Amino acid sequence: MTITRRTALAAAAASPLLGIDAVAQPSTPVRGGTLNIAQCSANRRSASPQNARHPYFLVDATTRLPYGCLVWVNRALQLEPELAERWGPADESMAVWDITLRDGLLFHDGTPVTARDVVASFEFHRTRSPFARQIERIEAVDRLTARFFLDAGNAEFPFVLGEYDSVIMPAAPPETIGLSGIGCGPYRIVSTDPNRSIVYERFDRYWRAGLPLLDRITLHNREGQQDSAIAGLRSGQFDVVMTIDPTAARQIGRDQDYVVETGGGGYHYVVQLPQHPGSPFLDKRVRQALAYAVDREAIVRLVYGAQNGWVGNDSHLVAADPNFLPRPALPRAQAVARARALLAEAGHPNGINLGTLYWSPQTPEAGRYFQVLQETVREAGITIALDQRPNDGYVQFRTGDNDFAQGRFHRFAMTAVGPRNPGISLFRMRGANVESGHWRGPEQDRYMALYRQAMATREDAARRAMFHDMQRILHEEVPALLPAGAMTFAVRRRNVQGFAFHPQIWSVRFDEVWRS
Amino acid sequence: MTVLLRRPAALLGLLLVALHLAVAIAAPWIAPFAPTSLLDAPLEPPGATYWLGTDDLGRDAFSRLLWGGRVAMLVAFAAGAVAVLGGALLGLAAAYRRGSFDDVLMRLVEMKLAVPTILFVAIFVTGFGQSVPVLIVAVGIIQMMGVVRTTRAAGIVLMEQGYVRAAQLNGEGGATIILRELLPNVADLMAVEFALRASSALLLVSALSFLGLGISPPTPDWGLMVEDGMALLESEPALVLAPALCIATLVLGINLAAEGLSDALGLDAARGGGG
Repeated sequence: MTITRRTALAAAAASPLLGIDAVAQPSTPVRGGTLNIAQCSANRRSASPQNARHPYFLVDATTRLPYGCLVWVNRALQLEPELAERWGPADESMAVWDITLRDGLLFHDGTPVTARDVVASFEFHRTRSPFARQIERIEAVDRLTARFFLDAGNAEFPFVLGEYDSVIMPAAPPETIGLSGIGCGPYRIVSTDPNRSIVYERFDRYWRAGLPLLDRITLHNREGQQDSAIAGLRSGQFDVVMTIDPTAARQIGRDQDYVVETGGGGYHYVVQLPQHPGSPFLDKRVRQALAYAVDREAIVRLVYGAQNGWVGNDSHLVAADPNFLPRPALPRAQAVARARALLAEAGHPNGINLGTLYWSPQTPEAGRYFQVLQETVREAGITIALDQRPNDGYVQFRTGDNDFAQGRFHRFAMTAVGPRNPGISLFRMRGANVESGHWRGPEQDRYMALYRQAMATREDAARRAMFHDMQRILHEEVPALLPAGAMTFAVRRRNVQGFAFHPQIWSVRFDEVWRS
Repeated sequence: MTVLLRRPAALLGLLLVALHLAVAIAAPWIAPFAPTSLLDAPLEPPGATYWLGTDDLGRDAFSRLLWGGRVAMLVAFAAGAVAVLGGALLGLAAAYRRGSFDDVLMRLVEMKLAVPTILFVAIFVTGFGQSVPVLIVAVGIIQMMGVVRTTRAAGIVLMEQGYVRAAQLNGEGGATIILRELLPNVADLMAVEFALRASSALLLVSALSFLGLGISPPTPDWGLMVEDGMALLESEPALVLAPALCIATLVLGINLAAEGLSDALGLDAARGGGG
């Protein structure tokens, strides 16, 4: 099945199947009280030992509690102002952008937020975030305006400014910036227990007048422990559990004491197909066979329940994106036959063993997802072994060196990806990224040429046509497999008001949340 | 064996273990469906086709139950063997050598016992993955510590025996004395230790699978089945209760058999060093 933008947004507002209510609109919000949140997904880059001591990486699942970004991507994946009052290209090339801050913004230590802080923050981000590497330099034009110089035109550049690794921190050298944990978000960090929990309290000089409403929020990491998190919700330990799977959402949605919220939009898994020397995936026919062999509908039906999932098209775009181009589908029997024929053509008439696919429990249903994938490709003679790895250290485990001569290759492995604009999503299939399996060759060159052309194109329809061409290349080349995705779910106690879940976990806002 | 069979509890234990072993071995032939096949809609109720219904991926729960003990039993019995063989050799070596070797070994054993079991496995799994050989080694090491203590205590007593003294006076080397004089004399103790350690290992493996640190999906495994079914406990209790019952009856069977064996051999099954 496919989900249009309209249906996805409708589902975000209400889903009768799950007993989902529209976000409660309280008549009289009350200030005060505490909120305990459990988070079941592993969207935390503190799992990398290189980032462990940095508060900035500890909290990327709740970016909008302690920090603010220049822009915010709303639940419909459209841009809204956040710390920036306005933004726009400085010239026709769209390679130079001016961003102007709101006046009167304050950090938690009382110092004003200025363009100097924006410059220092992005001096740090552009060395760490793949999406910010396009920034060649940044200048403070005046007290509130910063100018970004990009390596090429990018019509969708402002989306980069809303990413979880684009927060604004008090100016400091790149080696020390952010270590204080000071931001300008609605809550400030009181204490952290690395990778376990983090406590926030209200910042009374937050830029949104009268907000936030709660005195204190505690976030508990429960990745890979959905059952424990829901048991905690039922026992009163937690008020909100974020990123539960559709099965759990259906179960708990029947209980009158709780309300299930959906973030709509969705997220999915990318299965990286290594294209290093000696890999079977170097042969395009093997990759194509795998793409035909996987029963995407079965994943949607069995793992997500048909209403909550969507068939992927082997790009990073989610089905709710208007630029999404569905992969041409074949009836199941024909798809299996096509996969077998491709394998035979590639010299594997009796099937092929692709080795071990590594996965980690980044979201609750990951194990079930890959079991279905494994079982369905078996029909086409493709054997895959599954091996679960812990979330801690997983990023380092699955990635290798860009330079194959180093001998540390990336692995046949998965990772979860969230929904984003095409400019970011389609950039993820660049050859220098592990998610593309370090895809190389003339089609990759053509893909990136189209990408650069699209990014420099101002007109939406023309850009969309190029995005479609890029997706057609992915359908044919299959540098990576993105078989299916699903909407995101959270559950709250009925007395928690003003909470709206978001397809991007890092864009969930708690400014208006209160307890009745 | 006759003495063992005269004890009703031990007999029941042996029957339970034999039944589980027989089912595990015969699973490929007696299970109505392949354990990983996606057959039907998820959570079909029990019926003529699917005796226990289907699980949350549409697989036959009964077939998975029949297959579910194979890997857990393999890991438990192999880990028990690793623990008993490794533990006996180390314990007897400590009893034979005494002195600083004994002191160092015992301190290492105590240090290992001070590390929480789950933490130890989590570190192991993080470093080496969740494959069956890794689990056998990790669980074997955990179970080994108690065996080292038990066999060391027995070895110290044996070292005072005349035939050991005679062997020493005869100029036999340490390895020969350990393997020829001491090891055969702790064989009874090792048999009971093996049963106790295998039982403990089985519970541990199931608990680890439940926690996501043990056997990996899609391998049919009782601990994993309990974990998978927990979210559905209210609506589909059979998916949790059936594998839990299997774990309980197998552990009970091994324990009853071990107790009977211990009585029959005149050993105190409870004198193990823990771990």
